[in-house]
Order: sequence, then structure tokens, then C-alpha cells
Amino acid sequence: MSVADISASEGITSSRWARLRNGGTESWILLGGVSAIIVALFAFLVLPLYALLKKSVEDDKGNFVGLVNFEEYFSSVGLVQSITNSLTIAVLTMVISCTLAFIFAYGLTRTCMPFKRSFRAIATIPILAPSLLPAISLVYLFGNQGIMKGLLFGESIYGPIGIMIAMVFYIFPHVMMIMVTALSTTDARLYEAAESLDTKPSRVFFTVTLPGAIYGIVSAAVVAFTLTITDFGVPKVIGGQYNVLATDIYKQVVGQQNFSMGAVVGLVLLIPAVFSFIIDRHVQKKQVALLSARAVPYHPKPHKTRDAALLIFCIMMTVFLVGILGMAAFASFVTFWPYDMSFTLAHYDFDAVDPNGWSSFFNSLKLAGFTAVIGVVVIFLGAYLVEKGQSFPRLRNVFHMLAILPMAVPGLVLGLAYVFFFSRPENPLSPIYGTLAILVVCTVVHFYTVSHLTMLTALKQIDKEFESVSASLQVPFYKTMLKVHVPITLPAISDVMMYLFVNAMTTVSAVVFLYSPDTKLAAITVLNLDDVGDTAEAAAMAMVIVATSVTVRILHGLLMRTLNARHSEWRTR
Amino acid sequence: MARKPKSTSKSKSPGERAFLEIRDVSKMFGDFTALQDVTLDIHDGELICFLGPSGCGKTTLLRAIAGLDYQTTGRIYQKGRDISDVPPANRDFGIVFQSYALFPNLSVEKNIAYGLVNRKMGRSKVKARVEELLQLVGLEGSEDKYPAALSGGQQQRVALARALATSPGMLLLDEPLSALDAKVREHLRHEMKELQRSLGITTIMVTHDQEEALSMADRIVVMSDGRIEQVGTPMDIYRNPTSAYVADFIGAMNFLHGKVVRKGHVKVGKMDIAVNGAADQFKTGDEVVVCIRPEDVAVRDLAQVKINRYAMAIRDVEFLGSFCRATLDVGGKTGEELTADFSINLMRDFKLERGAKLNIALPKEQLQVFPSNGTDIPA
Ligand SMILES: Nc1ncnc2c1ncn2[C@@H]1O[C@H](COP(=O)(O)OP(=O)(O)OP(=O)(O)O)[C@@H](O)[C@H]1O
Ligand SMILES: [Mg+2]
Repeated sequence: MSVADISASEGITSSRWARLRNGGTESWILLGGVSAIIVALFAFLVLPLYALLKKSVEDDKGNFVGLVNFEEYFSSVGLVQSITNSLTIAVLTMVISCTLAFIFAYGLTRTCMPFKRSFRAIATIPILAPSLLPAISLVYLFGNQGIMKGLLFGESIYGPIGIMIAMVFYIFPHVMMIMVTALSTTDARLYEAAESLDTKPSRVFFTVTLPGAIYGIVSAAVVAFTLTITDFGVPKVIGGQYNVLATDIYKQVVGQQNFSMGAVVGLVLLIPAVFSFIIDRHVQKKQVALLSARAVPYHPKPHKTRDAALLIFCIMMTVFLVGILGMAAFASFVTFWPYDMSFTLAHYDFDAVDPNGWSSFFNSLKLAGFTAVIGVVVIFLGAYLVEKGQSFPRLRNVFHMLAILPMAVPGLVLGLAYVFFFSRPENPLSPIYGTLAILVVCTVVHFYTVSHLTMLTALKQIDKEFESVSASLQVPFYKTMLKVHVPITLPAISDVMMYLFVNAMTTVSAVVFLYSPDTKLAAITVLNLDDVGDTAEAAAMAMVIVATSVTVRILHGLLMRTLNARHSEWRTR
Repeated sequence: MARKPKSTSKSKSPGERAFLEIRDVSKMFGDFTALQDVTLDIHDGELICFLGPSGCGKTTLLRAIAGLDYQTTGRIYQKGRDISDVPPANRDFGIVFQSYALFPNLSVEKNIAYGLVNRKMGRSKVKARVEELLQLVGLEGSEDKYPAALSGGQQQRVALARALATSPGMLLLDEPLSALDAKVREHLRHEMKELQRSLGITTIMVTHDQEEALSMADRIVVMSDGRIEQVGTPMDIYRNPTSAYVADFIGAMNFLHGKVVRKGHVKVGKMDIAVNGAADQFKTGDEVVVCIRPEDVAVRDLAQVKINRYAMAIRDVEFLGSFCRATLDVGGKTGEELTADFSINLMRDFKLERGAKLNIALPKEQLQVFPSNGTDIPA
């Protein structure tokens, strides 16, 4: 019986076949696209994670040993101590950064203080730097030769204090932006009602302001917690003897070559990350429900004392952020901090201190470029298929779930999983191990979720009938995608590219297990230089990364402006 | 490329197949039945309206016809060809959506030419065709504008031109006018009907606006809950609704609840209404509703009228512009009301006002009787 015979007979399955067959190239492209992307996410996400899981119950020779590794882990006082350390740091950093970011965001959204735009722009700078940078700056400020060492009253910066200060710097923009969103989406009518009832300001704050922003605050807290507990660069540079989960993984794998134990620590680190992820997803849904309600935007009225107080706070916060960045910049240009403060460019001669030197920077540029370009194509196509593909609803759903998953996987865990999966010679994909390709793939997967969601949001705003119109005019969907969807979503495409580029420039955690001498990256070089005591060179390389990110951000801004000008006839923004 | 005007043939010679045949089409969304065994013939060159309340499945049926969402079961034939499993790109139709779905980043010209360019038509031919279409919809000179710079009505015309550009065999319109304000809508209604008639293109239009359906359609398909209630010409549907549901849905209608007291007579309150043929199917004692449209309540020349003549008091009068709608007290304990439309003239001649008494008649031939067990009958 041929396919034609089957489809001639009635019945749902046969109709499905007939429709697929009649659909011609278009149907097959759609099916092929969805399948390919699912296979890719399996190969580059699910299977590596499975390899990690498997490794944790194997000994070094690959024999199954059950939970022996876990027993060993939990009986080691030193390792278990790291769990407590990590949690302590994460919770404290979460509280501090959320408090600061809330006040800062409150200043930006609920007062009439001046310079709001500048404050906001400055507060996002840390995103452009690798997390190693604030740690290096703190070493200069409070380390053994630090000018402000006295402020610590004998405490050492190497340890929990240093980790927390650097983390607060590093995660501040993330937390602040969520807080701003949370505080912007309020209903002015609630305040008018409270005012008309003559409510005390403090009571208004606790009964209206806080509850309205609560989902955003929870979301910000979760993000702060996850970023802190999974970050590797900060504790590596400034953690000293204070061990945390992230540095343990590194030590087990790179230091002691104990892969099974590394896998166990990786899984332990995965737990809080997955937990945070679930809370965040849950909260985000509620936040969306709040947003869609019809609200009247709030416009703050001038209030002298309040505005002045918040202005002072925001200035202090800005001084902190700029100070840390400025310290690294300054240190990179002086001969020998703090003894010889004469200007020099010698620290930028990386080839003199590191075998890879400047080439690691060009590797980073290549990685960032490829990640941005390949990533945005894959992410756009993926989001397009999820949102606009008209057939295969189940496959599209599977894919969407897989696309959200990377958010729950810390970079270190992903990198380690890649080691276990791709280093095995029997894996047909093993040739990419040790090349730039695996770094690109890993980075795209690592930052997939946020990009995917951004793209999805942009595509959702496009009339869902375009595909139908296109089909009725007998234009294949992919032509319409290129002619209509791509131009309309160009701002989002550009956002995603910038996000991928900057993250590829600054990331350390995922790639630290995966680079080879030929593909060493700038951020890794920062790490190595700092490790061997070339701190000024490390600071210099970090500044090169910042400068590159800033340049890209400026180019992005210019591009957006030109786009808006050129498309002003049809783009209503 | 405009076609020669065709006579809108509403009937086909026996044996000839209809332009579009819909056979037992059902559509399920999970457990929910959006369409149930819909069977319908659509004739060449006619404008047919799917009319029904929100959620009754009009759009679902239209999308099944287009192939945009396949039916779960059932077949669809276009000119005798089974298109049930054919994807939209291989069917032959143009479509206009409620949102118009104009590509915002393309100029009016490029929007209209969208389907033409793909056909490897020469550039000058495309340009000529676009000009022709713009003229057809009355938008000459707007080639280079972007959709955002057009009014709602103009956007609607561009969408129409785009759908017609490839000279499709059938035009599908999903609530094409509902996004416009009343004035523009009325104007475009007329224009679209003219255009459709001159092109002779078979057109299916979805609407929940009965006025739109009555004024434009050659035939109306009244739908409810995924089923077809009645198919017929506007006049037919209006004058001879086959169910209380249709009677209620189209136009204003009085529903008088009563009981069959003997053959051809229904008692409503104190009134004994002679209904004749309309109630032959009912037995004595059956609960029924007697229907009459407000404009059919007679007041003038009652001298000779012997049957169904009653004296009533005006409970309330509502002024509706060109006429008044009066609420009459039927009397009796049930407190039933009867609404009647009176022209301004009549109001003056008979000095009608609130509280006034008058004689009215319910002309037998205008009455319709339906069983009153249906749930969809207004109380
Ligand atoms: N994709 C879908 N999934 C589930 N249910 C659906 C879907 N599309 C439509 N429905 C349901 O099918 C029913 C018919 O929908 P349809 O859009 O055809 O209604 P309609 O008559 O066009 O109504 P309206 O006048 O509001 O456009 C509705 O109850 C709707 O909720
Ligand atoms: Mg509809």
C-alpha cells in the first residue's frame, strides 16, 4: 500500500500524511527546521547534562559505583563547608544588592531628582565587564598594598567580604533593571486613592509600593542569588582561602583532575540554580498578569527631602561603581601601584607576559563575533518556528521547553558537562573538542534562554495572520519571514546580537574548562595573569574587554538610531 | 484584468456541482467541538455571509475553507476538486482579515504586489496591475505610502486590493469592516458589494453584524454553536425564520408565550390569537411562542379587521429617530408586553403617547409559531 492509497482512505492519520505531502517543500522545511533545532539542543544540552549525571556515579575508570562519590563528598568536611559558604555569600549578597538596587530604582522611578538617565546608564556599566574586574579592583583598593585597607579594620579583603563587595558590583545592573521594571509598572490610581484617604507616606509604602513591586523584588532576589552562587571569577580572584562551590568544581577538575568529584559538585550547584529558576518562572507569570491590567502610569511629584536623599544615595552608588571600574583602569596605566604612579602602557604589552598575549583577545573577538552571528540566526529561526510555525504543535512545544532549560544551568556546570560529553573519542562530535567551535556552541547554549525570550516577545507583537496572508498569496513562509519579520524585528535582533557579543566577551565560567592553548580567551587570560601575580596586566586585559564591549554598545546605539530614522515612516516606537 | 460582470446565479442547474461544497465538516479543539457536521453549498459568483454570535465557529469554518486550520473530519470540494487536505498555498483564494494584516514595513504598492512579484511577472506588468487595483478600490496615488500613514478605511481597501491582486477564484473576508467606525463602515459596505458584483467573484464574508449581512449578502448562513441554523436569502431569513433562534437573532422580534387551545388558535394571556397554518404541527395544549416583528403590528384601517384585534395601552414610547418603538401592555396577569414600531406620522395621526389606548391587530400572515421548549427563546 503506497502513501497515496493510505491518504485516499479517510482518517485523521492519513489526512495528516496527505497534508504534509501536499504541503510540499514548505512543510518539509518547517518539519526539518523544528527537528534540527531539537536535535541540536539534545546534542548540545540534554546529552552533555546526562553525561555529567552519569559521571557523578562512576569512578575514574568509568565503572558504575552508585552513590559512592556522593558519600565521599558529603563526608569531606572541607567540601561540605563550601555549601555553607556559598549559601552565606549568596544570601548576604542577595540582601545587600537587592536593598541597594531597590533604593536606586526607587530614585529612578519615583522621585523628581535630576540626572536619572545618566544614573541609569552608569549603573549598567558592570554588565560590560568580566566579573573578574571588580575583584581585581578590590585587590588594588583593599589588598595588601591597598590605599583604603584601613577601612576594613584589620579584616582581609581576601575572603567573604571581598567576594560580596565584588559581587554587588557585578550583579547590580541585573538586579537594578528588574527593580526598575517592577517599580515602573504601578497604577497611579492606587496612590491617588491612598492620598485621598490621607494615608501616612510610610503606610503607603508598605501597603501600596511594596506589594505592587513584590514579584519584581522576588525575581530580582532570585536572579541575585543565582548569579552569586554560580559565579566563578570573583571567588577565584579574591576568595582567598574561603572556598565556595564554584571554586571547588574548578579545583577538583583542573587542580586534582578528579572528574567524578567535579561532577558531584556540579550537581550540587545545579540544585539551587534549578530551584531559583523554578521560582523565577513562577513569579514571572504572575508579574505578566499584573502588567496586563489597565493601569494609569505614575508620575512622581517633587518632594524636596525625599528627592535630595535619593539623589545623594544614587551619587554614592555611582561613585562606588565608577570607583571600582576607575581603579582597574587607573591601575592598568600606572607603572607600579602604589609606589610608582607614572603613566605607562607597558601593562598592555600582553605578549610580554603571557604566551598567548594579544592573540587571546582576538580569539575572544572571534568567539564573540561568531556567537553573535550564528547565535542570532539560530535563535531567530527557533523563536520564529515556536511562535509562527503553524503545524507540528507538539514538536514546537518540546523545543520551547528545551529552549528555556539553559537558564537553569550554571555556566560551570554546562562547561563541565561539555567536557564529559565531547572529550570521549567515541562521540562522533568529539572533533570539535578543543576548537573554537565548541566555545561558540557552548556560549550560544549558555545564553540561549534570554535571547530566545527576547526574540519571542518581539515576534509575538507581529500580526499572527501574516503567515496566512502569505500562504493565500502563494508566497512561501520563509520569504515572508525574510521580507517582513526580519525587518520588523531588527531592533530585537540587534539587542540579541549585542547581548550575545558582550556575554561572549566577558564570560569565564562555561569556557574555563573548554579552551585549548590555541583558543584561549581574553577573560581566561585575565584569570591566568591574576593567578601568576601579573595583576596590572590582568587589569589591563579586563579594560580591553570593557572597551570592546563599550564600543559594541555604542555601535548598537548608533545602529538603532539610524534604523529608527530610516524606518520612521513605518516604525512607530 | 477585471472580470466580466456575471449574473449572480443563486441556483444551479441540476447535476452541476456547486462552486464550493462543504460536506460534514467538523472541527475539534481538544474536547471542544467548534464545528459540527457543517454541510453547505456555495455557488459561483455569490456573496455569502456567515452570521452568528461570537464564538459560534464562523472564523473556524472560514479558516477550514482556506486550509489555514484543517477540519478534523469532513471534506471540502472546490469546483469538484477535493481540497480537504490541500494546504492554503495550493488553494485558490484571497483573504482579508479583521486586522488587515498589512505588512507595516512595505509600502502600499509592495503590499499589493506581494503575491504578484512571486509569480515572476514582469516589473512593468506588476506596476500596471497595482495601479489598476488601486483605481479599483479608489486609492490612486497612494503607492508610496506606508500602512501606518493610512486611515482604517484606506487600510481595509489596500488589504482588499492585495487579496484581489492575483485574481483568486474566491474571496474570503473575516469581519472585514468591524474595525471601522459606523460611518465608514456603511460607506464601505456599499462599495464592497458593488466591487464584488462587478468582479463576479465568489465571496464568503464572516460577520456578527446582522445589518451588514442583510444589506450585502446574496445568501446568509446563520450559525450557532458550531452548527448551521438556517441558510437563505436575507429576505427569506428575515421573513421566514425556521427557528426561534434565527427569529430572535435577525431583527427585532416579539415572543409571546402561550398555549395552543384548539387547532389554529393560541391563547396568550387574555388574547386568543388565530395563527392558522403556522401552528398546524402543534397539538392542543402544547406550549408555544407566537412571533411577530414590531413593524408588522397593524394600527391603520382596522375597521374591517375581525380577527386578532385587541385594545391595548401604551406603556412606554421610545423615540428612535425615523420611528418610535412603543411598548404595549398585553394585559392579563402575566404582564406580557408587545413592542410595535410606529412611524412618526402614525404617532401624530393617532395621537399616540404614553398611557394612550389604541386598537391594534396582529395580521395572521405575519405570525410565526415555534415550540417554546427551546432554551434559546427569550422569556
Ligand atoms: N485554536 C483554538 N483552540 C481552542 N479553541 C479555539 C481555537 N480557535 C477557536 N476556538 C474556539 O472555537 C469556538 C469558535 O471560534 P471562532 O473563532 O470560529 O468563533 P467566531 O464565530 O469567529 O467568533 P468571533 O465573532 O468572536 O470571531 C470558540 O469558542 C473559540 O473559543
Ligand atoms: Mg471570528
